[in-house]
Amino acid sequence: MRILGLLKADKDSEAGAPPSQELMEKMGTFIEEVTKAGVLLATDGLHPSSKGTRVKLSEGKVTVTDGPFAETKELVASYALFQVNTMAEAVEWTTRFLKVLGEGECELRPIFEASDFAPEVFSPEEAAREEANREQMQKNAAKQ
Amino acid sequence: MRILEVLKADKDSEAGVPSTRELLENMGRFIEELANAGLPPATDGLEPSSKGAPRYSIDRQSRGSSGRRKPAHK
Repeated sequence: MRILGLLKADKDSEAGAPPSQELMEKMGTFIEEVTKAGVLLATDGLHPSSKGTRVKLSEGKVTVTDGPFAETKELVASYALFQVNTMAEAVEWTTRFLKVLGEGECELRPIFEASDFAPEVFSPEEAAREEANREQMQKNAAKQ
Repeated sequence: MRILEVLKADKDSEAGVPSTRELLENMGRFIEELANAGLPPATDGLEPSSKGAPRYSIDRQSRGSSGRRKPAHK
């Protein structure tokens, strides 16, 4: 199963405070380990919300709002995409990650897979289209 | 540049209200259009937070000597 981990923002991440070299090295070592274990599919840090924008469509009206956004606890500082057999595995890796950071809070969410949908809702044609889309998306990613 | 887009949850997504066939087809068509235009590199839906693990947080007391240096805050 795939699980998305979201590290919550805090005052430091929102201030754009860069990690120390020591922390970067520790994170790099840890990320290398999780990657070699075949668990980590992707991870990135996000710029503070001062560089972010929100787009909202509600009752037919589109609103675009530039950050920063006030509710720090609800903001995301980074993400990690895991491939694991159980949520407990993801929790274990995340715990180790937080210990590397020293403190922090992560939310782990299982990702919907095609098999989660009934075939009347997600038809074989749609499943085929999704597979084609994902192939194209991988090509898009490789062009970065 | 790469940009991460996060769709906010609402009552329906949190209740695990299933998507309709029509919505999934519309989304599939739209994602196909984006993918063929060269973006995005990836997109996925998340199950409701009821299926999420309890949030895991580590407080300052359990931090080792080489944790991030931060001013104390709530």
